[in-house]
Amino acid sequence: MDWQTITALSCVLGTLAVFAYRIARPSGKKSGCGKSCGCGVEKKR
Amino acid sequence: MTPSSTTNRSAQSPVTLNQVGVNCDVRISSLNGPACERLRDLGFCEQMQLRKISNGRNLICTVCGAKMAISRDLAEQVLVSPIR
Amino acid sequence: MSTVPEVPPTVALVGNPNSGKSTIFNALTGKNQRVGNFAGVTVEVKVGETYNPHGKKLHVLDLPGCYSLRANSPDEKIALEALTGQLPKTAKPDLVVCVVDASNLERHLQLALQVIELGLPCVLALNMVDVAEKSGLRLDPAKLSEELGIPVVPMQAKAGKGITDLKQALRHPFPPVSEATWLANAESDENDRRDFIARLCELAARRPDSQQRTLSDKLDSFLLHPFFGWVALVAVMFCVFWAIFSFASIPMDLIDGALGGFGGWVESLMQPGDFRSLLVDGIIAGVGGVLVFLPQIILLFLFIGLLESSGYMSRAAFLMDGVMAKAGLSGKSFLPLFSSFACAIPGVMATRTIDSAKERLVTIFVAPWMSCSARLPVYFLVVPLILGEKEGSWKQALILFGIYVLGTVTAFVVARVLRGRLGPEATTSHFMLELPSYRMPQWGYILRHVLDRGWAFVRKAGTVILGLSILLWALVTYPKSDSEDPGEALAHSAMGRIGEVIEPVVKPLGFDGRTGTAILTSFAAREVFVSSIGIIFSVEETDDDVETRSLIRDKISKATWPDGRPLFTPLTMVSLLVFFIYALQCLPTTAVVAREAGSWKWAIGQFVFMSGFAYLASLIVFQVGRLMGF
Repeated sequence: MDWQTITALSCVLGTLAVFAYRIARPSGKKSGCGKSCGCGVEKKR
Repeated sequence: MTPSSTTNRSAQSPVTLNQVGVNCDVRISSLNGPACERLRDLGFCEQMQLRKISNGRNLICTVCGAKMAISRDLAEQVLVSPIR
Repeated sequence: MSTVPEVPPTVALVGNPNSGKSTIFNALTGKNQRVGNFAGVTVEVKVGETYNPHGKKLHVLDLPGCYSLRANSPDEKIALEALTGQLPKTAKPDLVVCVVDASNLERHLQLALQVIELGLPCVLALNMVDVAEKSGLRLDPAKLSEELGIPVVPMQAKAGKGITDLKQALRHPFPPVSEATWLANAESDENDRRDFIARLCELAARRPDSQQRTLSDKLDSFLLHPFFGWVALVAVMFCVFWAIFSFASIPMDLIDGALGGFGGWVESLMQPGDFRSLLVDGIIAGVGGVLVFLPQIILLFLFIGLLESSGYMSRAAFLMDGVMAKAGLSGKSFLPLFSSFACAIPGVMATRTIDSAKERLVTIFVAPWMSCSARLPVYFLVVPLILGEKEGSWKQALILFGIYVLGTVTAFVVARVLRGRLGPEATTSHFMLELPSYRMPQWGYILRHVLDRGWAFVRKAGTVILGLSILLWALVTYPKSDSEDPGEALAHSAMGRIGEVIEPVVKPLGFDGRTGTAILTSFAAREVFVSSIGIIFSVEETDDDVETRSLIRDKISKATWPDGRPLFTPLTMVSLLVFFIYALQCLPTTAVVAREAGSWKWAIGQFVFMSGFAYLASLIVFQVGRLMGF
């Protein structure tokens, strides 16, 4: 495996880890929707 | 005397807001119905002067300088007497 | 003796909707504000900080606009709780600023009197004095102050006038509590207040006797006309769509070109390999494919902001009331549904102004069918393909208009059916709506709002969509096959395997496994569909300065089934559009619906219903279309 493949795979695994963390983390959903969909009303703190 | 003269009868039986013609200036004599409180909050109080702008499914009136649209059901609860 | 850190005093802003309260709040707090979360349900209570002339910090609460403290609606309840210190995590206010519209004192003073009666120190912000004076009202703030027993600050918040005076009134020590001298007998507070207000207005806010026709009246005779009003409404809506299509094309081309150039530059930096492919075919193709729609998003929000700010939206709500009634709704549902065209989440939350619980539920249920802005990348990708023309033509605007109409009409029909099944109302509610005067758009507020939404769009692209693009690229690339043929390589990858499984399910809708996989990914975020398509079909290396978006479109218009038939025929495109119009593909919306409707049952039911409906509709469109020979 060359360096490109290693780097690419690391990025992919890192992304997976971030997603897994965000799904699993306790829902301290303070603001309205919790997602950055941009509704002017609900801004995340 | 024809009984339909509203100015003579206004003291005894005020008409509802629905029955008043467009562009008439009237004064609210009383509110009669379940939505009185809500109406008062919006400015439709006793002794308030208002002008009816348009008829239709929902009426438009100017009251206290503000333009308000209310449904016919609500207008039925507002009793007014014309201002000469 | 223990020292406790000094808690800044809390100042609460109350007032009717349309009194200019939010303008004052923004002027006081500037950037130091955020939306507070209270009582578990997010209500629009904004919290901010300001400093009085002595440099003392103050917490400022912007309470929801309400007409009285009678707690008829959720907004009024929250306001009352906040003022009496019953709102969790909020201190009872030390001072209340009652914001009133000077040209509407007879109405606005109702709330002010009720607040003063609560026994809190108060200041009256007499806003919009310019409007009052122009309409011939003669104001006497000194007399008002004397009769009410509280300081009165004349203001023109939009022009920034009076803010300093208001801050002066916020300095320590706070003014003494007024004695509420109008409450004579204990029997009817209502009557006392009414009489007092009538007397007060005679004294301090004399109205001219004649009622002149203002410019607003003249405009309304046309815009509220039973026939011409409708013509104007349709014309306005259509112009908005057409403008979004046309004006946005120049900046979109610029973004396209920049992305293509950037991709080419990255390619030149390294040898062919996985990482380069990740950067160019994954990240740039995926994120860029969505970013390119930023101009359209911004234009859409700009127009919505303009319409709201000018005062036209309430006229539209008034006109729509008759139509809404046929759907079992009322004009009050108009603004929540219209907001859903931008994003269903604030639309669903705006349903709080609807008094009728059943009507509110129905509105929440159908709101996602007002095509939201996240669907726009999909629409803008697919619509030109149906016609095979370059963008900007009025035909495409017409199709887009038709898409919105289709979603809206279906929503009304379903609303009607659902409303009927929910049964009659426990208490009748009636239509009442204020039609404020037309006013020049508040550009500062609109631009800030537009920039917020635009930035949120970019941020979403840079986070969620970036992550999903990376994962998608991995699915398309691995496991690798030894074959040189791009088609075989794709079939061998994880994405290809998923596509094989999906294909029987989506084939009746006119889609193959690749498209089906892209649709599946779009349940994470609708915009991702464009990224997925770009990545899945981007099996060849891209050239340098070719536009990413039209490249996607070129690629998929050349795509074929294994037997050589074109994959993306106009009929397939229409079937795809229909699917996206009806499918509920937004987990945040489902979460908000669950909260606002009070149960997950509704949210899950909505999701299942809409997904099934989308599938069926797409199926019917495709099969019937095929039978008819398209």
